Amino acid sequence: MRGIWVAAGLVIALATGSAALAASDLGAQREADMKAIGGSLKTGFDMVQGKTDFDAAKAKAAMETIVAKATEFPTLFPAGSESADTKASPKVWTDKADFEAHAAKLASDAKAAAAAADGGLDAFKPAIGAVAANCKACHQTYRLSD
Amino acid sequence: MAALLVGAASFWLLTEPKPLAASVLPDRAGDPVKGELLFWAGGCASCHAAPGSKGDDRLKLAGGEPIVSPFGTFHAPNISPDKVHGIGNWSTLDFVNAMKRGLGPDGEQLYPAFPYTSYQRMPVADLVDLKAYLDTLPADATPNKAHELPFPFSIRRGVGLWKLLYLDGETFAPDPSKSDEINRGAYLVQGPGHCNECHTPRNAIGGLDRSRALAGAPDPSGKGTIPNITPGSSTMGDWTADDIANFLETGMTPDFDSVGGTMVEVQENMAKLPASDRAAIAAYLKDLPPIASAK
Repeated sequence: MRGIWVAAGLVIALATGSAALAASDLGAQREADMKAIGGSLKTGFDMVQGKTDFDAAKAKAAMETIVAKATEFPTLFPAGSESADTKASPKVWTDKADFEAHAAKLASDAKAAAAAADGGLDAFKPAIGAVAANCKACHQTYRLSD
Repeated sequence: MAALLVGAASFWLLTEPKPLAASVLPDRAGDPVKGELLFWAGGCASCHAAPGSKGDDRLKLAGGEPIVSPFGTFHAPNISPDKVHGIGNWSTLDFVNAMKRGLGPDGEQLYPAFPYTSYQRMPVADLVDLKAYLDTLPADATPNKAHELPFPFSIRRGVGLWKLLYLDGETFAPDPSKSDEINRGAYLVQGPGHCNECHTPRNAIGGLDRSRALAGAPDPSGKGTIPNITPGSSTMGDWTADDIANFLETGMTPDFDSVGGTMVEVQENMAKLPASDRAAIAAYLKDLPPIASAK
């Protein structure tokens, strides 16, 4: 009988432990996705601003990274993960559909920019501008001031 | 009883409004073109335009989003030229007294959620230009909402006491040891830009802690942190002046992170200034003494 209680206690301890771990993992994963998106934008804008030579394949790959991360990002905010990081606004959970729509728009604009990269620098330039405009459109409402 | 009377009389005298006289006004009409620049530098639309409005609707100053603070919730009033609900009946002197003395047209004390502690730094000439610009904007008949304040903050007259401590009445004076560019930046930051109102921490009664000017503060809404923008900042202390100017123009950090929260509106206002003004703000911020970010 005692063994059952010990086992139950262990299960609870493990479950609590893994939930705590999952929460901090989520926070780290959110930050990693945002950093990957920022890094990909920098790759693209360095070409647009003439800091590096335009390379269609690299530009396309950078935009595809944004598509992947923007698709994953809204899945990192399950119910109960409100405190996994310190910058997510409670509105992420109260206005979830709008939050997800922002992420979806980023993904679709990045997809369009990946396609535009094949058309050369002149086609890529406005397309990456449209991608970047998504950042503050979402951060204005869904990220706390920092 | 006598003590009570003395107390009441002192309160009345100490909270007496002290408006400026018409003699401070220049002998010329305001210039709305110059005023428009001050309008964007001052961020008027951020609080006074209807929440969520875009484009030309930003110019309809019908009263905006509630301003949540530790002292209660303020509702920025209608300052469109509507004669009933806005400030269409205000004289230029009324406007100057609101901006420099925190007083309404009948001498009533205005709450410092309206950042006149910064706007007081603006010379009267600039305020006359700003009023001339506001007069050109569309009138809107949205009625004002009452602030939601607990006692004792609900006693408007009490603001007079607060002003004795925190409203010094000084107009910005350039520092002759600094360049014109740095002085221009200092004026924009301390005066119309009212950057201190969020980036400088406050004490328990809402006074700015000038010893940590621009070194960051808790967000007044209770969630998040307003960053340190001195060279000692852990987030942007290593940005170059160009990085700062570029951030104010595009909203992007050197790492391609973006502006967020309430700073989005500020950045979009700053983007409307001439590039030389953004460069001046950057030069001034880089010239500040570095203050380490609070832990």
